Amino acid sequence: MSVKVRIPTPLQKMTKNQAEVTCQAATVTQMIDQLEKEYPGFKDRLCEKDGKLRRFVNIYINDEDIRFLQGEKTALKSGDEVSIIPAIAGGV
Amino acid sequence: MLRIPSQLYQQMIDHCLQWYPSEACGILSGKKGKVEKVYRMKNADDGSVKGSAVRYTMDSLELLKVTQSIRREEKEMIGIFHSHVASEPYPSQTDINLAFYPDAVYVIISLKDRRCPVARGYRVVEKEITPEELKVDL
Ligand SMILES: [Zn+2]
Repeated sequence: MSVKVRIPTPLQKMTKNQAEVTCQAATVTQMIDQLEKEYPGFKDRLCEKDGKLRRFVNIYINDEDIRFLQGEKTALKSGDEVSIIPAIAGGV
Repeated sequence: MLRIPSQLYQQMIDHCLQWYPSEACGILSGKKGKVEKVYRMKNADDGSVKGSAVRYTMDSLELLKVTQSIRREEKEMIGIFHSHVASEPYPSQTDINLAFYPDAVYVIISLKDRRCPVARGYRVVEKEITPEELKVDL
């Protein structure tokens, strides 16, 4: 399954300034592991130590937030566009 | 330095006043430190229609749409703003902990005195805060 992954600006330093990379993976988890292989340290930016997606990282497949799908287990299809977008949040 | 045309500056302040007494939030797009567009975002925090007075979180799907729009227009997300409804325009510990965009200027608008909103800019890089000048262009 070849998917296109959009890398947010804050993570582009890890992907040699590429805003977009392609990846072979059947699920979001596999995609993250694949990216980690290619860009060591990448997974740590997205996931907690137990492998769960960090609360303030959003991942979308095409136009859907994976939290509304099957989370990291969500299957990928060839041609899917995956976007990684850190949340924007704060407070007093 | 972040330069904002006065009309866009006003849009940002208006958005904050409209959301008062909840915190407001939004995105500034443009290029080379000059703001060209203000995206008024909703504060999705706490699930209520009117958001929260102490927290803000941008709605994840709205954030995706805006990110796509900025990319289509070949601009960059150069600023991220939110309001403090009762405190100084200075990043809180939560603001610092959740600052994931070191390339953007974080703009905080204090509505402590609603007749006289005060906006300040900062860079937050690895939890270090550096003031960044905001220049309103007439
Ligand atoms: Zn704040």
